[in-house]
Amino acid sequence: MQAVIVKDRYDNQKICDDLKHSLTSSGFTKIVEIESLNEIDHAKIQLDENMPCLLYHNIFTRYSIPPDNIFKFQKEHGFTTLSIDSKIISFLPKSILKTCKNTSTLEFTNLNDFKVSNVDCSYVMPDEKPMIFIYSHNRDIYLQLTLNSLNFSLIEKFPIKILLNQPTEKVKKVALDFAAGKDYVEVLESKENTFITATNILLQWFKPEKFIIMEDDFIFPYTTKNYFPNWPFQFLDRLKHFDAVGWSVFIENTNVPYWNLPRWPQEPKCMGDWEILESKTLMMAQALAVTSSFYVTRAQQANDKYVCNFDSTLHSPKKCTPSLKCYHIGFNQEMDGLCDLRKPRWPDPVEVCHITSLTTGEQREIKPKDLLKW
Amino acid sequence: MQALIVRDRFDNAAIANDLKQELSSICSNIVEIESLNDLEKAKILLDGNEPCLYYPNVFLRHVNVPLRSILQFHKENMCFSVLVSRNNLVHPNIEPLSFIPSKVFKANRTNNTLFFLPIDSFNVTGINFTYKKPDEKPILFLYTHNKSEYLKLTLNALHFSMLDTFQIKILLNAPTAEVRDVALAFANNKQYVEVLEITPNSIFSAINLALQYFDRPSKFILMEDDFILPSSVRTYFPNWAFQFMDRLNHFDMVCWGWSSENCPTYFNASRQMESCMTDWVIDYKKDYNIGGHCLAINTDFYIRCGKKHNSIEPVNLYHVPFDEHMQANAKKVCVPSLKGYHIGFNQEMDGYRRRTVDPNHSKTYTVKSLTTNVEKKLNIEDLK
Repeated sequence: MQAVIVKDRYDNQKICDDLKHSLTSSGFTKIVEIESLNEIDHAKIQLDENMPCLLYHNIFTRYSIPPDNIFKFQKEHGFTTLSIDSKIISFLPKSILKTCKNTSTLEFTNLNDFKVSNVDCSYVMPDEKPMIFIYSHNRDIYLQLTLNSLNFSLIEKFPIKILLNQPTEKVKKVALDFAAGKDYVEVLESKENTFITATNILLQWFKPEKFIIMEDDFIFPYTTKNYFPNWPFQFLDRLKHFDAVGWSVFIENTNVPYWNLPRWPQEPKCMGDWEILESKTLMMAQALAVTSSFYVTRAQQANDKYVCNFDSTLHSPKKCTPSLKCYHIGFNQEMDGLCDLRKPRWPDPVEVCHITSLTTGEQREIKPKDLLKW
Repeated sequence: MQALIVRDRFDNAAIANDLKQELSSICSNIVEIESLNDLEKAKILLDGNEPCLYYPNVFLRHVNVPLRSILQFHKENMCFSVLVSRNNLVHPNIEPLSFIPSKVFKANRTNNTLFFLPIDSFNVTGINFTYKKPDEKPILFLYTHNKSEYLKLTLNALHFSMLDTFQIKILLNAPTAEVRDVALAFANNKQYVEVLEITPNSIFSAINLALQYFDRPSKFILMEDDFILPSSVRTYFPNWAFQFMDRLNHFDMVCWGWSSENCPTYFNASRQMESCMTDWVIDYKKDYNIGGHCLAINTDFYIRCGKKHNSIEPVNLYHVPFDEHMQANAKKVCVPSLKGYHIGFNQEMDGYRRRTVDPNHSKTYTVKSLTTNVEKKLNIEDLK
């Protein structure tokens, strides 16, 4: 029996070993690893072309029945592919026509697909629990769409902390409606508009070792949980190898025409692939995982009036990003009448912030500059 | 003196000729390329050490400074690789007014701008520019039912993209109160916007009814309520709606494409990265990600597509062709390389229910203009 696993060298080793162990103990003697579905031709050379082959699009996927049963079912019935919804879980190597470059699909000759309905797909995840920080001020419609897509992307729940920066009533309502019935969501309100100092405030309040910074204007693709299941867990796990792991945006909706930025990527990858970035790339702080020590060190070096680490995070030397891109709806804020870019729009820095957790009732005064003493 | 124009052969000939005529009075060498990716070919034909006027498209016109003065100034200040218009520091247009060919290059295929060698640009302020447009006035039909947030974002972006106004007809399909509010607020004080209400919900048949209500215009733009145009549209594709109508003289359809990133996995959408964002893609192979979110089409072709597939569901219910039918029948399709955002793909995330086909879909509807109060009773089988 044989299987193909799509993984890169930064994927969690323990989870990968677990998967391989479960396959070998089920009798799979040939396990081929590739970094991308674009490399399926390389895999084919090593596979028995006339025997079914299980396909793991990532190392986190687990099926609800033993993998050898999937193999045997396909072999017995002679299907070209078995799939759950549109996701191929097993295929006959000789029938692969080609990889649809840059997507995450394969094309087959004489496709004879069987849709499996009695097999469920679940995902295991790295151990470390993420924490997401989001801040918002006056863009309720963006916040709503951002939270909807964030929630849709999550297979497993974890703490989400929303800091409302001197919010409008509509923003407050969106945040509280979202938090209702979700014990993993905490909403905090700042009396002052702390702007991008919000991350600093949340860091001081919650003191996580690693965290995910997020803004209120970033819509995840519908397919996030298909291609990057448990992405926040994966992001944190990858921080063992990178300074920052973040989502990047597609460049179509940038608000400055003729930006000197190429469309991304120049060599398109499958949407389930990871990209390692070392050059100038458009990765913004819309959804980015960093360690607290990295954030604080860079904030100390940056000497920014908002006492935060903004650009240095973006330009960190070792970054990793999913090839799948998100929509930065914040680029549309001028179109949507939420700001006038010709006028000053960044508030004055705040010396002392008065924060109340609307979830627990706890109140604190926090000085942004105290972060620099960490 | 010399000039470089980026245009393809389907750009409006009268406007292109008008530009060339204007330039010919001062430029003895006018070079045309289809894409900025052809810059190196252009440089062979240009004098590498002479200033060259730059037109990223044929519609751009500088209105308050003689072109000769721009070139003359640049010639006297050859230390600058480029002259750049910097009227607006927030939205700088960093494309040059003129450049020294030997000192610029194109960084890669997908970038849409010139790079300067070395970076020694001179910022010019006070030069205003405008964009010409083809003559034919577009008419755009946009239908909507219950996705008020999407409608609002769609209309905002549509409005932002417009340098010149044209007719927009918003068709409210048995709308929710929020949708009606969004549409009426948008139409307020805009004479070119008309809001119509259809009862009952005609769903896709709205376009059929609009064609009948407005006496079958020969061409139109079909738009859905969940498609956000990028803010850079008006720079890269100025007066895009006029250009779309004009290009229908050469194509069966002219459409906005959408980014593959946010579509569901079952779409098998491909990523198209090889073009500059300012280019047009001539989609003979029909392998671009396009749909019925925003496209210009000839009415005859549209109706013909509907009739051809009228025996199959759901065309036989709604009496309109769907995007796949239009694509299947179109011999030639043209698409801006720049893509929009189909927020409609997110409807499940945002709690909107997916539509299901109603086998008892009505044939007759009341269409009432909330702007003029003119009411018509129409039958979708009457579109001939």
